[in-house]
Amino acid sequence: MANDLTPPSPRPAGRDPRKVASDPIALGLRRLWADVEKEAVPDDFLNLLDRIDERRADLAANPQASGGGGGGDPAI
Amino acid sequence: MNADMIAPHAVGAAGLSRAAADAVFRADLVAIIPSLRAFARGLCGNRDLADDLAQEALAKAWGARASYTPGTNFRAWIFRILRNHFYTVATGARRFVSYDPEVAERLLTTPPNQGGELLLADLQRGLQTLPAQQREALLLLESGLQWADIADVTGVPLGTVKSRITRGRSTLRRYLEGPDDEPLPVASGS
Repeated sequence: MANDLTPPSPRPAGRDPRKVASDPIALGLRRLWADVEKEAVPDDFLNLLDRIDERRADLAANPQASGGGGGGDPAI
Repeated sequence: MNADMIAPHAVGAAGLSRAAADAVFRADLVAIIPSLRAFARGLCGNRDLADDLAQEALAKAWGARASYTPGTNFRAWIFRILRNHFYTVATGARRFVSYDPEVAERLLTTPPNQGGELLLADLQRGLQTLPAQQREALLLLESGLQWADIADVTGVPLGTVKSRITRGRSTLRRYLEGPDDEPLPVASGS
């Protein structure tokens, strides 16, 4: 794997870039993150969203079939 | 909260019809996929399992879209879904890499590549030696989230977030510097 630890694209928020620039761990973690973000998104993801779209269309055609938002917040 | 961390369409989603709001939400899901994959990859350390995790989080996010408040931090919201699902699955089916003190000890006593340069592969390997709570805190920080957002995603106080990050970085640094004369201690659980 490459040794290039130049800062990846700027982050929308987070730590002070001046501190990150001199921190190899922060740079490395950001590079790991950025490398994945740059990968092409597998078709599986878009297929999943297509199925979601189909479901949305079904719900639009038949509102009674809607569960009212899908069952609440799964994060809780 | 930073305005640029909010989903691009989220602020304007309020007041839209259900169908239009869903379309906006879908666009935001598409936009967040690369970050979701990156977080999942860092959490479980395996590409295929991480993508499974990210897809499951996407589906859950869609199902829970009514609970998302437009204008709030979409990134933090969906990261929370993903990490909660990760812990549910990891502690249940053990499909994902979870913290194993014995594995961590072996990794910690295995010297990283020598030569004075930090290799990303070493960092990635070192990351997997950390307890998941420390790993996720480090990943979220470097993903661009603010401290308070990390506390929100992980459901712990700010002080705990800072402690996890400090301990995680310390362990990672020791790992990357290589073993001393004596074996390195294994990181504690949180």
